[in-house]
Amino acid sequence: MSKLSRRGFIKLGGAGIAAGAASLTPASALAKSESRNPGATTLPYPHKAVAKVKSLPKNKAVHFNYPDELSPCAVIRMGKPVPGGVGPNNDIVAYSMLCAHMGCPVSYDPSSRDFKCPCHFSVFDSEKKGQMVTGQATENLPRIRLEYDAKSDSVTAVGVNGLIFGRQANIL
Amino acid sequence: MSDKERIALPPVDAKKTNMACHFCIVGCGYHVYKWPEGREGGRAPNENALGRDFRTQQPPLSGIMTPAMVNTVEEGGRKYNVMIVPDKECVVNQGLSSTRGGQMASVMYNPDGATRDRLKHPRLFTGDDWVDVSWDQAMQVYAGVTKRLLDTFGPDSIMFNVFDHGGAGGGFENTWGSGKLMFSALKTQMVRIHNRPAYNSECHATRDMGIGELNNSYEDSEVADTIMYIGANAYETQTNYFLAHALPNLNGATVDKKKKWFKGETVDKGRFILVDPRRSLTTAICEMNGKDRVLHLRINPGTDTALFNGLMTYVVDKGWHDKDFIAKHTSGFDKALKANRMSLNECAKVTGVSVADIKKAADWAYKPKASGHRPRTAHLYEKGIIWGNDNYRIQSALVDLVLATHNVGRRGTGVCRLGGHQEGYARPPYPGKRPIYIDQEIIKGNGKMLTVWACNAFQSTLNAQEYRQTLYRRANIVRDALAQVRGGGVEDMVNAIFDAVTNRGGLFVTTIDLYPTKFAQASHLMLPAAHPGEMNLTSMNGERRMRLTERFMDPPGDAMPDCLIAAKIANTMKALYEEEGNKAMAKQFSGFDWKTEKMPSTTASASPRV
Repeated sequence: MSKLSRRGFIKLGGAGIAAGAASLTPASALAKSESRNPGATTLPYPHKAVAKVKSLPKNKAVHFNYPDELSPCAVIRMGKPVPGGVGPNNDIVAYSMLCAHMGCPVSYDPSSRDFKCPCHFSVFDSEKKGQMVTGQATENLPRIRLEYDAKSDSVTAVGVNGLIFGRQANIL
Repeated sequence: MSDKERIALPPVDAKKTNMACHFCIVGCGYHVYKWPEGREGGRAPNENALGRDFRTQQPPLSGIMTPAMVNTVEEGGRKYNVMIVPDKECVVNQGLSSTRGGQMASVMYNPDGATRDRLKHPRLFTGDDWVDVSWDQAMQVYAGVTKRLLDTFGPDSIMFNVFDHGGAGGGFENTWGSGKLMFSALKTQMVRIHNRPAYNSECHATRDMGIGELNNSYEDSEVADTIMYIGANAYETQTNYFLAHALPNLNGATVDKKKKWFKGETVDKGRFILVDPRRSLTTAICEMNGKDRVLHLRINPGTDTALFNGLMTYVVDKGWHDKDFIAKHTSGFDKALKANRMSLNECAKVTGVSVADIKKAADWAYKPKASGHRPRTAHLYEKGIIWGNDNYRIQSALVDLVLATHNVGRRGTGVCRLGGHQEGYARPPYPGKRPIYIDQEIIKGNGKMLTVWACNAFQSTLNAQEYRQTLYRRANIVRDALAQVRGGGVEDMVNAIFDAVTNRGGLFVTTIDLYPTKFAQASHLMLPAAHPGEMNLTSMNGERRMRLTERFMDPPGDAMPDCLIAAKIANTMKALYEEEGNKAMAKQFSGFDWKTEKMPSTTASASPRV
């Protein structure tokens, strides 16, 4: 196998075997997830109350931070059922406000019902799980997973679908 | 697009190589990080090869790293993680990634991923099914048929649809290898380029007028007083050229550079004129960034010639043309002006643009500045005026206007194609007297074998429906013949194919590509090729900047670079001629003893056929 020797990854090989045996889980997730639950395959997302449904205006972004204070998000009561929507009308969705391209803050445009980035002009559809409509991102806008509790009429953030810009893992 | 919520970081000792994006002409710079699967870097800056601190939130514009930028690849039977991220130091893209280049890692071959359908081995249609075969078997069939046809009917029976560009499915190495096979060894003139039905340029007019179509640098868009985009949608199709070099001019971010470069000249934020029947995304974004400095000339489709003639007439009547330059560097100016003279009213009537807007465009692009200096206007054009039956006249009228106003050969000017793919042309001269309309030849029943190399004419030729129907009909004659010798050996197959193409109007079709394409459905043989990263590859971007990509992984299965496929074909032909003692023909197929894709020391290069 002359190919192997020519490309020469010998120096990586030895270390690779040792480290490879150690873990298949990103090292970054170890600090929190594995110390709490060594068998975890998901990140330890906090549950965070976002809003009472009654308090949410229709078609207007309400800002909150999730899963930590460094991650700005917006929750919107769309006014009509949308894919992934929660609440009594399946119309409440939430997204990261950091553009999936290069992390500039996106803003919600109620007239077109999408998120727009001022830096490189990516546009994300709030009614289609954050799908990029146009622009330079390679990912949809990360979507905050929500749960609705009818009894308390409240919406709680419980996780994130997609990688928040500027992070190796959504939980720092 | 993925729902991934974390990605693996390259460890500090990850192998780092260079890669130019292969998706468009801009050729943005990227870095590839590669490390054995199972290892990961840490989040502290001294624990990962990116040197970034992922223990905290990274600020906007601090560097892109998305799930689409990682993948798992193989080399030498071992698996490796790769991350491909834009290069901040690259003067072309300055750390930006487009939605195309940002997904380069995703399109690398991964047997468990979206790219699993790559061609891995030569595949032969044996009468009723496709079977994987060895390169030796594939070459015995391909070269066996080629030799019989060459000996019996000469090179005109052997046709090619072939790439001529840089980036994936191209590059100097591969245009040279394929060109040497077609033009020096086979000596066939029956060749057409990937996106047009003959072996011709898309910009004859500018060349006939003495101006190559790539004649400025991306930096010129930073310092132009005015940029006129014609039939182009730069935000979507030359994204990082537009974002990193043109838009900052509109926003005023390059005024200081203009002051420094052009001392004593009036300088200001740039002005953009967009000539396009459509309101494109580029138009919308330009208007968002400075509506008062953007003019959209929404011409009636196909009236570009009238617009440029109207502008030329107005400019000369105003005395804004460069008389010295015209006298020194052009001929026939008065004659051209007389022939093309068009009043503003007539121009407005034909183009559908108001007289006021035509005047405004002329003021912005050609009226001397307050300092008395001639404005620096870059004219940047693309498919809107090059892809059409009237492109010769349109480009001539544009270059007339550019020459009259001396908007070429000065900083901040140029009359350039924006481009689609990268360039990378290095071939021996085309052996024909003039380009032949190959697709029409096939429709007429001419030619006996066709090799379709990294392109798909079903999607890109004129009269595509008739072409496709004819090609299927002729290819099916060969398929029927192969069915008759089902279970036979290579010699039986070669005989059956030769009989079908000689006596029954058949066409033997081979595709050389990364994937089984729509065209391959009509073919009889598929040969698996490699792309940048699986080979070392050299290309050139739209400002003629060399773009280099280093190999960092194996191509899938037996796939190999196009130049080495060309060599394999030529070497098989050579062996066949040596076997029968035909020294002259063996010599014709010599000079292909290449072990790698590295460029031979001597190449005869011609202008890129952009």
